[in-house]
Amino acid sequence: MKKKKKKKVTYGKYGYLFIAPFFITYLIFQLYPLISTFYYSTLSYYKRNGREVISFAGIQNFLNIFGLAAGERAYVLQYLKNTLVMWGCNFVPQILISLLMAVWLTDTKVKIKGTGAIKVIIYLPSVITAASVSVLFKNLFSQYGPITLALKSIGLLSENFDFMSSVAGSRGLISLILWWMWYGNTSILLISGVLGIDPGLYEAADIDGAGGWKKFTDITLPLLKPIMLYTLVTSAIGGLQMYDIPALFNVTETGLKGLPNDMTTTMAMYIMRLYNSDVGKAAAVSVFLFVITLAVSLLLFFFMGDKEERKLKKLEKQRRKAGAK
Amino acid sequence: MRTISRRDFLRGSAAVAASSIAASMFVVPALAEEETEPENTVTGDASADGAFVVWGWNDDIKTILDTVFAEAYPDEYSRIVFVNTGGSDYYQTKLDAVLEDPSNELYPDLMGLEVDYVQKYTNSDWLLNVADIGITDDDMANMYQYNVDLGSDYDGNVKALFWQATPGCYAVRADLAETYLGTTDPDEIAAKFADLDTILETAREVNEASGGTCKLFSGYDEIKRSLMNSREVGFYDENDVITLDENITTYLETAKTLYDEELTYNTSQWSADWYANMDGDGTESNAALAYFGCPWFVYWSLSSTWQGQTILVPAQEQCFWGGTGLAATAGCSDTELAALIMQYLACDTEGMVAINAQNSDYVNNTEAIAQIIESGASADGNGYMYSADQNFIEFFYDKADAIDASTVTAEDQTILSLLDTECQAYATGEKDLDTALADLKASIHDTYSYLSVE
Repeated sequence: MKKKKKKKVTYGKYGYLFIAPFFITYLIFQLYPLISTFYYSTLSYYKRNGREVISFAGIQNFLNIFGLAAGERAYVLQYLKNTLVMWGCNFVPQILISLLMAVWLTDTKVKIKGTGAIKVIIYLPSVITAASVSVLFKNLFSQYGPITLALKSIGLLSENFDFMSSVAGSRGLISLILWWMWYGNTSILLISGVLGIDPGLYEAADIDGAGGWKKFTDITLPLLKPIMLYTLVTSAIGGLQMYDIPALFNVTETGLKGLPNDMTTTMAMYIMRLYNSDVGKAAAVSVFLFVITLAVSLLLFFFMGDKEERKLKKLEKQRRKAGAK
Repeated sequence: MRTISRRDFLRGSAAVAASSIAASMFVVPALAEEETEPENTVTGDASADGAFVVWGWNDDIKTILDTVFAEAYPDEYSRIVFVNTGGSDYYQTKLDAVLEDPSNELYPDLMGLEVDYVQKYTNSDWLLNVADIGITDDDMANMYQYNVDLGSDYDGNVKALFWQATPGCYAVRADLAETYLGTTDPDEIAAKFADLDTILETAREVNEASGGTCKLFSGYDEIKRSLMNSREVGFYDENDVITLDENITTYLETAKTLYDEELTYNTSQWSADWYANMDGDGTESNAALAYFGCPWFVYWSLSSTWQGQTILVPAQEQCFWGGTGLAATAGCSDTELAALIMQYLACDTEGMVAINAQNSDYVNNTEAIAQIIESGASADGNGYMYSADQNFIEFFYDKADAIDASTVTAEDQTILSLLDTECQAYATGEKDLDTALADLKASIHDTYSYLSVE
């Protein structure tokens, strides 16, 4: 008996050892770069002909990126807007279609055949590398690409339309690619969320005579909220850093600017462009992106988090305070 | 099955989200880069004794080393390790990192540099003067002057040597010229490319004659290189103030005319549509009658449709397109071998005749070119010629004498790419000329803060 007790204590210690690798790599490869980015953003740090020129600049980089210093333009705001528009146009349809998929594929009454196959098929696009997908779509939708020509021949597009020189066309296609690549992934997440809901609730609702829509709005949606929040937050973080698809899709030869007219350039593309010429400014843009990401995530938590739980906690606090008095 | 409670789930997702946020700026760009950044292909054993590492973004240099150099110097050749970075997009990023780290096994002893950024390296501390490794002015006597300038730093020290010369031209497809211009005579066609106004006239002529199924060029950017590589002022002056040559305005305006009058198919260079126009028949399927080119373009990039169908026409101004310089690094492990390679591939007449015989390169050595012409050796490029009267090598012989490359700066590759954005926006009517030029200056300054707008 004594021996057993001793062992229990040691197990706890090993637990820390097991999680240590994560924290060590996190500190070295994530936290340290994060902090050094803040430091770099205060430097005038650029490279010219392979030589680095570094001096302290205070908040100059931030004044520059927001166009507050003389002769500077606030490109970063345009790029933020580009990023948000393309992310939004992909995410809203993505969550709607995924919800629909999740409900259909888990419904015990409808009994769709081959749900396994469907799940695999909708997930497949996210397995392909972004580079290939970009090139594929670019060729399909180019001015003389097969899909463009087909749409023109059935009269859906005007004769002179070119996706690649149209802002809405290019942004729309990037959103479409992102949607196509990720809705399967989101569907799988939501399916697992729906399967986690106690089937007894649905049975009870059936007995009470609830219809499909009623069950969806009153059982599925509220119980799916945590996983929806997770999807939203991770997608927002990923979306704000959108890089590979727009950087390879409709860009100038060296991939520095999103065509047409800089309207598909994202924040991450801007950072990558500056990184090769002006590290200080790239760091300032990164810090700005960090702040935006943090703000968006916190807002989502606040508005989508469990309001009742928060309310209960508040009441508990008040009660304790009252008790103390 | 144990269901995860809502609170646990929230907590878990919060942890995931928080760490993702913290990782936001480094991890994801890094991941994205990983996905798009190609792997290096290393040929040879870099850890071997006396390994001599050569870097390139494709196999051009490797092919020449494997054949021409290997034949002449088999012992030295066996020491060469070649690093192919798999494309030019990430070449500089990879190169800059390894150049900062001379102890790296793959630190280059010799490397290839493309003209659009060769100036960045010649003006850095990373390269050796060729004079310091024993290459003399006499060795460089037969080179085209513009190539010597491209490989020199601001003070005139030569650091990179080019084995190719790349004078610009237009390649015209004979069958289409016959149908829509009524001639296949090189001189008569050349007259139709005499200057930009004439080129516009020719574009209208082709468009009208074909009813739009054949156009002079595939895209308006066909005129970009000829105008950009014959500029009189560089992108900035000695005080680092951004300057825009008149040719930039000319390019934007000509591009707009070509766009407005629908004289091209508005494709961009190297796109699938651009390639497709090489092979159209000009009646049933769209075709482009001419492509801007240079020696390597003719024998590497034109499709088989052009074999025996190509008429070469001088560009309206002498200009160049591309080219690769060889340079020895400051930390080069064996400067003798570096000098030997550079000497044999970029100075030596015998070596350069051999390069031409191997891959048809139009070599950067007038004596070698004269020999090739005299011997009647037909390079592959000649297989493209329509008429026996036009010799591929002979055509380019005098097309590089007046090229002025002194305007090329270290930032040209990036700036030329920024120009594409503005050119498209102006041509399609998105903005007016003054806005486009002001936006170009602003975006140059935005990318290179040390370059100022007035």
